[in-house]
Formats: sequence, C-alpha cells, structure tokens
Amino acid sequence: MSTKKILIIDDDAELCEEMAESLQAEGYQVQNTSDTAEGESLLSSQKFDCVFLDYKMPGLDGIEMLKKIKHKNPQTKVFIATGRPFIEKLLEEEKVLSLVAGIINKPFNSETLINKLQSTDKKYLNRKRSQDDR
Amino acid sequence: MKTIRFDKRKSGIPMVGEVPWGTHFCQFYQNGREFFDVCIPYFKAGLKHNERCVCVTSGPLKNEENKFLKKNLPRFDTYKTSGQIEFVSLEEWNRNKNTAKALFAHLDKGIIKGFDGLRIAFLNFRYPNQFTNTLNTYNILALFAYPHNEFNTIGLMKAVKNHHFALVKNTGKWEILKSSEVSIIKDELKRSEEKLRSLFSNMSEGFAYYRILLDKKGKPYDYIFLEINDAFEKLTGLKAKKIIGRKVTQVLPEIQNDPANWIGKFGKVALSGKPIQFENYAQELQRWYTVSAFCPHKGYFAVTFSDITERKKAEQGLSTAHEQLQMQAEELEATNEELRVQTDELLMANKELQETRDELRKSHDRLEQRVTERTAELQQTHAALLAAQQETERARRLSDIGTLAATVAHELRNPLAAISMAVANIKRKAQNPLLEKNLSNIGKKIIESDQIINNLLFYSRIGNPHYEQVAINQILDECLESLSHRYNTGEIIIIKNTEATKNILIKADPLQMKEVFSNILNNSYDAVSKPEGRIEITTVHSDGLAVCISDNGVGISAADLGKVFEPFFTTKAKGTGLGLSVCKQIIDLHDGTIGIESHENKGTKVCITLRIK
Repeated sequence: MSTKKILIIDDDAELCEEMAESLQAEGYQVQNTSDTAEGESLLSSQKFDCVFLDYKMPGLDGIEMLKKIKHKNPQTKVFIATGRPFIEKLLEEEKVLSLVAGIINKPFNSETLINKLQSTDKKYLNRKRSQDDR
Repeated sequence: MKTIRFDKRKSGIPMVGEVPWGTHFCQFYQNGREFFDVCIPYFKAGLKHNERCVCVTSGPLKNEENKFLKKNLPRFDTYKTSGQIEFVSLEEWNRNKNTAKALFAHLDKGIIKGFDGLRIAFLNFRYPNQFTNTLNTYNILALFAYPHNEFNTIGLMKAVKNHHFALVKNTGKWEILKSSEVSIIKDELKRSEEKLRSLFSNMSEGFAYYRILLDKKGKPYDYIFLEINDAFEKLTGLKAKKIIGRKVTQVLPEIQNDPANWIGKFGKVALSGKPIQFENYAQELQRWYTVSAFCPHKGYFAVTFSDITERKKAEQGLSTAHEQLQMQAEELEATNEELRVQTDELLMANKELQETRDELRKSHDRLEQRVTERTAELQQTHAALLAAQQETERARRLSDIGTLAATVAHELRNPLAAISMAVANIKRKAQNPLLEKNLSNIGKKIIESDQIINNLLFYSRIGNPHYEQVAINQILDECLESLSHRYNTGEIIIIKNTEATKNILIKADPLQMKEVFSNILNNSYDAVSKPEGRIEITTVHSDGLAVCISDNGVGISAADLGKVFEPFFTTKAKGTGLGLSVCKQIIDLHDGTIGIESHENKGTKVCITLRIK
C-alpha cells in the first residue's frame, strides 16, 4: 500500500469526518478540513500521497488548488469529489483532466471510495513497475 | 270646234237675235233677193264679231252678186282678201268625201287666223244631216238656204225638223218656224245649259275660256276673255262685265312682263292642243295659282285654276322652316363633327387610360401578389418567430429549471454522500446484524434520492446528443436490465416483440435513449397493478424505426393527456413530473416523434419513431 497519507478538503464537514473515519478504518493516515485556508496550509506544511478535493467550495477554486497541489508535488494523487455532472468535460476544457487521478461522483459510498483509491494505486504500481523493469 | 254653249253670238238677223255656237237653222227663199235678205246681215254680224265666214253657193259669184255683196257688206273686198270671208261653190263642196271634215277644216283655218269661230251659209245644200248633229259642240253657226218652191209641205216640215229653227217669209214678213221637237230639245238644252252654268258658277275652281290672239307670224301675243265663272271673279277679283270680250293685256297690262309668260304658255296650249298643268305666281294679282289649261279646239283654251296662295304661304312657311331645319341640321352636323372629333380624342384618351389602367391593374396585381407572398412569408416568419419565441421561452424556462436542478442536485449530493459514508461507518463499527436491515434501507433510499437528482440533472443538461451507432434492441435490453430489480417480482409480465429491430443500428445518443426508454418503462411499471400487470414492447422497422411501449395500467384521463409533456406535471404521489418532458426533449433533438394514447383504466401506449440515420 503506497498511499498512506491522505488529505480531504470538502466544505461538508460531516462528509469529511465520515470519509476520514472510513479511510482510517482501512488503515490510511487521514487529515481533513472544511476550510480552504487550512487545507492550503496543510498542503504547504506536509506532503500527502493523496488528496480528495471538493471541486467547488467557498473560497476555493478547485482547478487552481489542483494546479497548486500538482505544482508543489506532482506525485500527489488528486481525486475530485463532486455532485456536479459533466465534471470530466469541464476539466478537459480547462486542460487539467490529466492532472486528476480520478473523479468520485457524489453521492458515493465507502466501497466506491476505497475501490477508486485502490484502483489508482494498482495503476500507479503497475506503471511504476514497468518503469523499474526498464 | 268644241265650244261652250253659253258663248252666244249675234246672229245679225233681227227676229233671231243671239244664238249660241253650234246653232244651225234654215231659210226658205222664193228668190235670190230673199236669200240675201237673211245672208247679208248674217255675215255682216259674223265679220263684225271676228268670225270667219264661208258661203257655199251654187257656183262662182256672178258679177252682180259680187257687186251686191260689195255694196251691202262694208269692206267686203278687205274681208275677202284677208280670207275672213270665202265663197265656195256647192259643186266644190260636194266633192268632199267627208263634208263634216271639210267643215271643221274651215273652222280650224279661221281659228288659226285668230277668229272666234266659223259662220257658214249653204245655198241649197241638201245633206245637212251629214254634220248638223255634231255642230253644237263647235264654234260654228250654220245657215242652210233652201228654195221654197222645191219643197212640199211635208218636205218643208222635214227640213224644219232637221234644224233648230227655220225662217219662212210669210206675207212679206220673215217668221221663225220651230218644230215642237226642236222646242223640247231646246228646253232640254236650256236646262242642260243651266245645269252647266250652275256647275260653272258653283265650282270652287276658277274657270275661264279664252281665245288666243296670234301675230302675223302666227305667234301668240294676247288672248281674249270669252267666258269666266263666279269662282274666277272671286279668285281674281276681275268682274265678268269688265273683262269678257277684252284682251288680257287690256285687263292686266303687266301680264306681258310677267316672267311666268302666261301668254306664251297658253298660246302653246291653244295651238298644240297639249294640256299643261303648273303652279305660278301672278305678279299682277299677287297670288299663287295652280293652273290646268287645255285646248278644246285650236286657238282656244280653257283654264281651270285654284288659288293656292295660302297653301304656298304654308309651303313657304314650311320651306322656311325646312331651311331653318336644314341650317340647324347643318349646325348639328358641324356640332356632330366636332363631337365626333372630341369623341375620337376621348376614345384615344380612354384607350390610353384603359392601357394605363390595365398597367396599373397589373402593377396592382403584382403588388397584391407580392403583398400576399410577403404576407405569407411574414406569417410564416411570424409563426416561426412565435414558435422560436415559444421555444426560447421554453428553453429559458428549462434553462432556469436546469440551473435550479443542477444547484439542488449538487447541494443534495453532498449530504447524501455524507449519509452514505456515515452508514458505512456505522455498519463497520456496530457489527450488529440487528442494524443491517435499517442500514440497507437507508442505502436504498440514498440510491432513490440520487435517481431523483439524476432526473433533475438530466433534464437540466439535455443538450445536443452525442451521436453514436446504437443497437436499439441492446438499449431496450439494458433499460429492462437496469430496471429488473423492479420487475423481477414475477408479478408483471413483460412482452418483447422486438424481432423487427434485431441488429438494427440507429444514430443516437445512447445515454439519452436509455433515459427515454427507462422513463417510459418506469411510468408503465408505476401504472400497472401488480397481479395482472402487463407491459409490452413492440418495435417496427420500415423507413424509420418505431418503438411502442404499452401497458394495461390505470391510464391517463383525457384532461391530463394534453399536459403529460409539460415539465413538472405529474399524477404520481412521488415524481418530479419531468420524465415525459425529458423524453420529448430528447426525441425532438433526435428529429423523432413521440406520441401517447391512453384510456383511463384500460392502459397507455407510448410510441416513438426515430430516424435510422
């Protein structure tokens, strides 16, 4: 399990708590925040393997944040969690779709969440393994 | 010569007095002296009164006879030379085959010379019957002298009977002998004459009898009034007493200068015997006459005439009126000509106007047509605009709804996600089978809620379809599959008649198509009652493609049927009322049709047609 440290940024504090609890139950080291400024400061002070980012929340432009995260640490996997439809299209138009590890449509359950997380890990691992093989 | 009975002549014989023309009488003489007793005054009167005298004697005149005549007849030689008196031997006379003709020849000779008639005496001519019967119609006086001693009493009586009267010397005195027959005839003649006179007096036409006078060259130069009637007096104002026996030039001196040339005209009639008729104006009398002149015998003429002055005046009035009318007619003609010219001009102008009008009408028609066309275009445009406006309105409304839906959906998805996560955490932490069912129910409701959100979102994000080649049957199967958790209770019969569209591909947006059929199938499911519920899917493939989904459910009331495609219209206890609205949007975008038939408590049938490409 390569992904250990996870940051959840979502303006729905209860969702953040439930997600964090579920992921912690799976053995991940999870931090969460509903405050954009806190999220930014966490990101700048620590290094996360994975970030679950609400696409849009007060005081936060999801795309800017995504760019910042990837700029600071390209290794960080960013999942966009959103209730908005056609988010892929939107990201594609902003030319940032390649920066995201996955999109998680709200409402999601814990299975979906964990599956998504693990599937990207596998992709990542496979990709890394093939790179190592060379 | 035919004559007028009342033209009386002086016989010259005292006891006889005046006799009318045509009179013939006899004389019985004892000797030559007695013959001359009668003959001399007889001829004397004739010569004096312009008559031609002829004496038929036994032979040429003896000297003493000549002397006697010369002595007793004044200007005898002159008369003899001029031919007014002539002596013819009986022998010579008797040579005439037709003695009557010879007699009339003598008369004509006299008339031509201008004499009034013929006075003849026969000495011992025994055949007076050859012409005496016809004498009375001519201007002839005849004396027949018979030797007294050659007649016995009977012979004498016969002779008397043959003549109008007879002169006989009785005891030295001449007496007139008349047979009773002669008296009767004379009476008759008198009556007849009276009748004639009456006729002449009473006739309305003027009548006059004239003798023409000829100059030495035989040319008429005057004429003499011999007889006129009362009407003549009335019409001309000339009285018989003053004019009979007088020359017309004496009575009416100006007649010679009258351009009507009366004398010439009448002379021609009197000499040629050809009657004439004419109308003329007598300047002297200042009157118009219609005149008929005829010739009873050479040298004489009779004239009947009527005063037509009044008629002429009327005619002149008529003529004047006619002339005025003529002038008016000419003026009218001129006016008419002018009018004709004006009419022509008007016709021309009218023609031009007509042409202009035709052109105007054409222009008008063209304009009218253009107006009609433009109106139609405008109406179409207007209709299109109206439709577009309605569409815009609808789109705007839908857009508003979409924006709202998207916002709501987004807002709801966060809490749903939180609930879902919380359920998972509770389940993990509790590890309590008693909670399993409750948590499962919560999970189901979260899915249902998400479906509602999906509908809202789908409605909001209906945009241009992302066309792909889609197998219609596969879409239908997927829809049935995804809804199988609802149908698979075994209580509802699903009938599929989709063989017609097996392997048929259409160009469509698969997600939108799924949405359409899922919605319709969900509606059907909601409509049917479980025990006998039946949903039938039938596809038809012809030019395009048709999918009909029918059920035997509750149906839709006629009142509601018209509203089913309106957004947010629903009869369900739960439901957004967007399902069929979404379907119609999608099918419209695919250039297809969607129709719905329904009868309450019998069922509903929704048919969709789509183009294959």
